[in-house]
Amino acid sequence: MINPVLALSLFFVVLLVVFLLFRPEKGFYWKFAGMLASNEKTLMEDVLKQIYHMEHAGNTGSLLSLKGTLDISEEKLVKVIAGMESKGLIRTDGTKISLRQEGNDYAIKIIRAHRLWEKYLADKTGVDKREWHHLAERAEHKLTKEQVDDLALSLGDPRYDPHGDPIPTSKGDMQYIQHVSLPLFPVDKQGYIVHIEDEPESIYEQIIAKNLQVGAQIKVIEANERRIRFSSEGEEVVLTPIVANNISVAEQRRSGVFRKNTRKLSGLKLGEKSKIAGLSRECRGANRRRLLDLGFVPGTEVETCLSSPLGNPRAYLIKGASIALRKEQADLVLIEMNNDIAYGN
Amino acid sequence: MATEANCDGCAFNNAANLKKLGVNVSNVNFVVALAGNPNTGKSTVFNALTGLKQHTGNWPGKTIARMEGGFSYNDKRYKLVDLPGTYSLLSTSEDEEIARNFILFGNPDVTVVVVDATRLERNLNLVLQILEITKRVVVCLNLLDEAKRHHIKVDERVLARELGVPVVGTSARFNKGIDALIKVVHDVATGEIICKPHVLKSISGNIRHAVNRLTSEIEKHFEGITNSRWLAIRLLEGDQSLIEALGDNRIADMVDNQNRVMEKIAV
Amino acid sequence: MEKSNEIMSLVSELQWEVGEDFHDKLVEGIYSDASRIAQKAVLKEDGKKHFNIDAAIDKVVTSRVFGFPIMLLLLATVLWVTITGANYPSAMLNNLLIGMGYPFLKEMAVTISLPWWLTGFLVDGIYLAMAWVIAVMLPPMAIFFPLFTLLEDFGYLPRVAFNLDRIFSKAGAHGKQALTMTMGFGCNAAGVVATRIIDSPRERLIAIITNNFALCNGRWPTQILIGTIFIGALVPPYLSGLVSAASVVGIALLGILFTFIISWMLSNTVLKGAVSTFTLELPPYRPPRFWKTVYTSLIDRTFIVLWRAIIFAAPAGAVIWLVSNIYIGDNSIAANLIQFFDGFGFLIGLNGVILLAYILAIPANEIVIPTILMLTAMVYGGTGVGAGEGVMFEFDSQMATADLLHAGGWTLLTGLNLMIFSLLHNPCSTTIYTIYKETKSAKWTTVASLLPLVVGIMVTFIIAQVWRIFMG
Repeated sequence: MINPVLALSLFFVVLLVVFLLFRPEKGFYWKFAGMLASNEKTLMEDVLKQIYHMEHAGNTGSLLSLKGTLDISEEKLVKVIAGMESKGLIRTDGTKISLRQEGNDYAIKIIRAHRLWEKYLADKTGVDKREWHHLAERAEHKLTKEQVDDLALSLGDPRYDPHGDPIPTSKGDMQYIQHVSLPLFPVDKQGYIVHIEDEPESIYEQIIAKNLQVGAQIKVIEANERRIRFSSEGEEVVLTPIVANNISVAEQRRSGVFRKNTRKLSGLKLGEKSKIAGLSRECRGANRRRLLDLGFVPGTEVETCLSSPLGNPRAYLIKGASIALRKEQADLVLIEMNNDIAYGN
Repeated sequence: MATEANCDGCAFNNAANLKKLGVNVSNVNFVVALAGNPNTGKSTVFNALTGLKQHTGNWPGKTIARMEGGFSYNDKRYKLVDLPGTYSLLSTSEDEEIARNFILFGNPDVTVVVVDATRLERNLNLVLQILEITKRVVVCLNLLDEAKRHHIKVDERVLARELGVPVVGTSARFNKGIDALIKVVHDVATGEIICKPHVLKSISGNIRHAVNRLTSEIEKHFEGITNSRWLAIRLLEGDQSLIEALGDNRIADMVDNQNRVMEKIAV
Repeated sequence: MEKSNEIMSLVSELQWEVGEDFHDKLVEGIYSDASRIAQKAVLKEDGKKHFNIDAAIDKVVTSRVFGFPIMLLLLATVLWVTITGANYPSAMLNNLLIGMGYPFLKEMAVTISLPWWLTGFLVDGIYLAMAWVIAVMLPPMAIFFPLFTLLEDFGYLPRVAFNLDRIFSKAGAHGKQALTMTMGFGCNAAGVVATRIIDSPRERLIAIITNNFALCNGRWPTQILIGTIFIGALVPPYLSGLVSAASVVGIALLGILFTFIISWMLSNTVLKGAVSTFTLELPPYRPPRFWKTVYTSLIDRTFIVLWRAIIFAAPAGAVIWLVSNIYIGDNSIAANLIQFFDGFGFLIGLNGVILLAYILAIPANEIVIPTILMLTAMVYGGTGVGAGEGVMFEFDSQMATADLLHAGGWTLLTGLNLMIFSLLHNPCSTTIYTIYKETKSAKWTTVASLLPLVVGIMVTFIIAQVWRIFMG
């Protein structure tokens, strides 16, 4: 006969321990496994990548700046840098650290793996976009060159990752788009989002919460030190300049994006008709393919024909069939702006 | 042109020649694949042909696994393979893969595509894709009863001319048109009807160029191939199973088979 | 090999050239051809506006006011017809197979002078288990599935998925899971097969793994019996029918609650990387062809599932007979096992008999109660009851059952926890086999089998301890 109080407390202690060890992401077990995985090679590759980004942004790398961004002990960093120098990847000149050609190539290889993996996660899995970066940070150290090339082939050799960053080719070329950050973009001009920075996470979360996406059309209405007000796909958005700074915008190019004024299908009221303008860039992978298969292609007439008792999902009449979509899906289908509906409402 | 295939007025009485063989599919002369969008009454057509009683719900996408059945007509035995209902063959889901691989590598002698007469446009999406994979296709224009109820008429002759393959109107639920369907399937299988399928016209600018270049490259390597453009499209999409098939000998086997069939029909 | 390398290098070059819109442009191209051809071939009758009956029905069955009441009414009707309609044929089958068939076979065995152990093995073991499964399982399934199929063929069920999707999406599941769950109330194996209608890999796996939380018809009799004996007995007789019915419905609702909780947990942890898409086409209504539908649903659903259940029940019957009739030392194997499980059984508010019955009755929930009664009688010396030592049986009166269970040391806690454990334990082996066939994955089959068991053990454990702290 076991004392029930004792049995119950024992049970909850065990449950708590298991929870602390294995809870998603933050469990001690995962942390410990992650620590084991981050060896010398990982660290070196992270340092290389960081120097590359610094040089790319027009800064020079130094011990101090590296220590600030990488969050490791100085002692460890010095050791790694010495090792890299002896391998001929970098050269040091006083406090300045710069990449040699080999180091540069190495860094580009890592970046290629990282961005392709993000593309893979976006197109071929159901992983939430908040986790792409984090998972790619791990995968980039593990993928071999052959694996990366096979991955590129099966993804159709993409040029940009889901955040809009160019993916280096196997030869190391990258296609950059001319762009400026959103606060600097001229007022009243048509543009589209080419890149959304996924770091730091807190700012990225705010951008995602506003439903802003790479490829989305925008027009800045008002820009000052306090706020940036702009419209994107028929909805008005207000951001602080700090957040807006992490969004890069380019002038409207002629093909590929929607030239007409568009809005979201989710805004089409019951019984209203419109024409499909296209699918948002943010609609990816299996979801995009499925919507295209179902007939959500540009120029097709669409009508909101039914709403479920709870308001979501709604059914749309398209090419003779009634297809139900959830609101978050209908958000990604863009329709032509009807003339009688005021822009921005 | 094969419009005469759709001979509404022809006097033929198949009922005496048709035998439903149920699940007995041994020693067959021809293999017939049955494809179509979900909810077009594809399984009803299957049951009407084979005499089997596979349950068919009013549900898009009931058949996931392949179902097989048989029938015999004019002394020839046919195996009928019911493929999963799909909207397209270009995506990545499991059921599409089953359907795609069977039409591509299973060497069906005839592929019957069941089409919903009330939603022709959306169904043609799949028909046009299948026409890229195989030349020997019969379109079964089903649900004519429903079309009538919704005041929709489809001109079967125009459709057959546009698609370049025979079109047979049916109401499988009421067993109407099934005899004519069997006759046409027989004629296509034995080479009495030669199809000249529609070629995609609206592929735009730079992708057309890329597809054409790859198509001719594939034709250079595989003589007599009849679906080079489909392979080109799928390879450009990065279809992993096709890349593998190119590596082992499955593509070569497929082409050999196409050549053999062409010879058989020519004779 | 050479061919493939040359082709692949060109593919790689061209992929870069065509860019990422390739698929979009391709589909757009195909659709624009399709639309041109359709325009030429389709002749719509001149622009008269025809009354659209489909749209009219849809307006009603998905309306804010009538949507849910219609749904509940139809579901309640289907369940009521099933339960009341199954009573009579069930009793008849029971009478035929067990009341008449069983003694007849026993006599036959005596006439042809079979050895006692062979009679026991074949008639008391295999035959009896199969007879029970058929008597309990066949009538409700033969009524439930055709009714369900009629609604399906008419085209109503996709509207149910449409109406309920919002609720299921909160748990990371698909609206169509409402239907596979309902199907699970008939039979979990059939419910698992029905998940084929869910074309999104993540949501389909969720529906498969949680289907067991829908209380299947093999478990309803257990719930009703125990609910009546232990819960119904708590209140005055005129209320007992109502209260015991409420307790059974409560258990079924608890199952739905667990469906949502577990669905949510799965979609946010192990399954969060699986591809998830949502599509739901609302097909046109079609008047079902009544007899054809009834016939095919019997062939396609009822008999396939029944056949599988019989195949699994037969060896189970044999094993049950063997463990209770083979002796090691002074006691039968069953008695030894019961002693072994008693400690753990006590910990979760059950006993060794119940645990052994659930292990032996993995093939079919239908034989749990007969097995429990047989084992209880065997261990607690209820000689003179039932059909003899080591033979499964059921009492005609609930009073007799209650007396035997009380003699076996059962309390209100045992009854309550048995009801919960009957809801929350591993699926029957027919269902496990079906899950394996549908997922083709040993991993997910294992998860689907063990997860409900672990949940069940934890819940019954907590209830038992809390009960003992406050009541004992």
